[in-house]
Amino acid sequence: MTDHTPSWYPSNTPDDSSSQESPPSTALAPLEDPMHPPARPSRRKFLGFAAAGVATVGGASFALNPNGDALSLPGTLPGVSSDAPSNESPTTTRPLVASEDVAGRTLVVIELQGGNDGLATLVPRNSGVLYDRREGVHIPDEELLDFTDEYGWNPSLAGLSNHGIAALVGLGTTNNPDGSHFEMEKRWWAGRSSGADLPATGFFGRLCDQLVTDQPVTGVALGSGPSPSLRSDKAVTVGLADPESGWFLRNEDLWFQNLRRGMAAMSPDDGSGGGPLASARNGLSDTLAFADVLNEIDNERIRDAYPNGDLAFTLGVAAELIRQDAGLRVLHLSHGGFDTHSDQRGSHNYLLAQLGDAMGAFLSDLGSLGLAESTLVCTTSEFGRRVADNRGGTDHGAAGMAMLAGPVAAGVHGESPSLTRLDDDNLIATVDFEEYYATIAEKWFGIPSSEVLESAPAPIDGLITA
Amino acid sequence: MATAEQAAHLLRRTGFGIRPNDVAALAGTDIHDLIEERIADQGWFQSVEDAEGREFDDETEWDLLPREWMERMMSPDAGLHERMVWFWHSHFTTNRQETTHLLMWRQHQTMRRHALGNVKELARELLVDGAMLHFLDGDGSLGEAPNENLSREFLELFMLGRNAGYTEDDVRAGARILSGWWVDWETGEVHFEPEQHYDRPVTFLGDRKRWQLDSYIDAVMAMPSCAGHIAGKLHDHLVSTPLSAERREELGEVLRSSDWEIRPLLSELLHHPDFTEARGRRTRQPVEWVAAAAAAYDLTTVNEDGFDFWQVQQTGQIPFEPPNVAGWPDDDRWSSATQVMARANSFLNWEVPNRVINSVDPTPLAVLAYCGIFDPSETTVDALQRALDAQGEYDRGVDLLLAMSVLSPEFATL
Repeated sequence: MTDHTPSWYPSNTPDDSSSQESPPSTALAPLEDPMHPPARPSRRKFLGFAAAGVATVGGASFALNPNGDALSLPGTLPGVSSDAPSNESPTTTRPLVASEDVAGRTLVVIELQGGNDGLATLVPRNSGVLYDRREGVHIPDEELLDFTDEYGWNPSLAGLSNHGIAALVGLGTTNNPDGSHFEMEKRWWAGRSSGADLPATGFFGRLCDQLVTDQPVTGVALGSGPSPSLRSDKAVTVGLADPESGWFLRNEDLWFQNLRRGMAAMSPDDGSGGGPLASARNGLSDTLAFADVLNEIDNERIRDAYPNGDLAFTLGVAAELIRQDAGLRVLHLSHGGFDTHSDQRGSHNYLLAQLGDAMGAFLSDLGSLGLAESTLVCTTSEFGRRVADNRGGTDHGAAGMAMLAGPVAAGVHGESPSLTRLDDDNLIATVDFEEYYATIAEKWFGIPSSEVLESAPAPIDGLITA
Repeated sequence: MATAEQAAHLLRRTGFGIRPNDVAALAGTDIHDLIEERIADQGWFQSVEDAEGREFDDETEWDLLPREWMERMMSPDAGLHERMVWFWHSHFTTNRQETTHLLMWRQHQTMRRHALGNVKELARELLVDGAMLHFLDGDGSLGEAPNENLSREFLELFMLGRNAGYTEDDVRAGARILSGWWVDWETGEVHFEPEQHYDRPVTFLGDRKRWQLDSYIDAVMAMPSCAGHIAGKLHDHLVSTPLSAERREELGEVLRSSDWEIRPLLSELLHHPDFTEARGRRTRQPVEWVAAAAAAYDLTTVNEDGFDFWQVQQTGQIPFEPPNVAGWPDDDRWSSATQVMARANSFLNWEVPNRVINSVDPTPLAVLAYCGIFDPSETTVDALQRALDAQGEYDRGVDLLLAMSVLSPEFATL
């Protein structure tokens, strides 16, 4: 693109940047091509998790294995940090993960939109109740992928067979559950299980506020534009609606080059002024800085390493973003269509196959990139579905489940909800999603739950092993 | 005599988008006369009867109401009245997801009717407004076990401010006073069931008696914190300089002494030197930015010329969908990279109409002024000049200047 570089913008490629002359002090500084700024030193010094105490994994913690043979523990578990120095806040006495351990850790959240049927994802075995009450959607024992004595996975998730997966069951709100997508999405996004006095920020946005660095962007929503869950106070979180988002940052047309240079020229980093005008200048320069990250995305590598499909591609983009070590700490993706009121077996299995294949490829990719131990993958969904089926589908329910991958203790966590003692035909949550969030905050990022959740719940032990 | 920049500042703050000829027509007029003209804005609203023949059922296009309102804000007629409707919506919040299209539309017309009228009348109507009763759970609140949501937010957010002279007991007592109201989801009719109302004496704000809606409103608005709370919120929205306790008192007194009429308060706010000093001190919220950018591109209709409603959604601010009962935050987050990304992603798709290309000189100052910016920073002017030099006038140079102007830091602020 330097062929098109007009003379008033000095080219800034490594070869000739040294030859640039300083402008006379009265003139504006030479304008740097925002597409090729000077190399930024990596701030993410990844500290290897030395073999300081490999976590003990409970007997039920097997890697997902469809053949039932060679039940394997998840590969290498990172050290448990409970002896490590903690950075306790005054409001918690729990040991937190040491700050040097959490440096560079990334969270990838996959929101299963529409209310994922937990009972058809991680299926309780040998349940006469389920055979009776959800005959139209139930997956028989013999089809399940082996997991624990109590549970087997939906066979559509075979793509996860070689990865250690943790399941958190009985997950929902223990606080006046509601059957509305809107209502429950809002609660999950805001991180407020009761739904009362919802904060204007989202839970993941508040995590970003705690994780903010001098890098331009801390959180990014991929695939659906800005996610309310990433609404933040001070951290910059960006929504990229599709792989084409930020197209104006990549377009090589001279007009767009000039637009970008113009944006850079309007937002000099000279610390001049203050207040709203300075913030607006920062907004422009942060956008251009983020362009570097977007431009490093290697679509060809994604096509090679991932199966087809939107979710797989988006996870590929996520890997490309994480790999660049550019300050992104929370990535949020959406996988929609889980509102399976009818024809559930077909549609749900299809969605789970997409999820399993995409996530499996992502986990393998993270492994090959050396990022497996610094990346936690987890799912959310606004609610589970009813125990009883309804003409081949299921209606909005209450408790559901979440899947976690990465440095987690593979196996089933949480207390299984009763299949017979129900609340208006709904599973009663045994784990509140704020406890789940507290676990991510404290055990993954070392952030006291009181900093990001008003009710400051205690985290769940033994789920995250890093 | 008003300078162009003074006139532009007034139009930006008391409207949404400046259309290119607006300022030229006003320059040289006395600024105080201009302010009074803005305050005299009669605005536009519809009566309940106007809803007849309109479809407000489940089949209604989901984005109809916000889209219609966006078009009002983009309209060349949008003045202080429209600005005040926007202010009241972000003050007396309701989220359309919690109610029906019909009720949301009715509440919107109520706000339109009182936007420049009387605060007390507006508050009195909204307290038993169907959409508000839905949103804050006043619908079906029973005297024996009343829902406290409406009572709490009415005191805390709408009228007095947090912990401003009332107690938790007052919140509970207020909930009893406000009990007994029902909203019919089908017809939107709001009715009062005397048997379900708590009809015994209640101690509220230090007074024990049988309460009605009117005496409740009187008591709340007689609280010393009330006028300053509301006047202060309006100051933050329109003027947005830091507000001292004395000035808050002063503004509250203007509102109180006019018996809650809004125009005298607006007059006090806009003629004050603080208002002139406030140039560039407020960040445009996304909806305000979209309306202003649409005016710059001379667009009047959503879903034409490449301007689609989903682009508004991408900004994260949708009219009638405040994130919570406190409304939208009003700070500089609205010029962050998230916004720049959302704006540039979608609005660079807009076609620049020929009528715009034909009517503006291809110079940075002319195009910036065309976008309502009359006092740009040297940095911005230089950036535009260099871009124009590099691009050349005849190769979409004006388009480039226009795109840079709406993405400029100046355009992101008010």
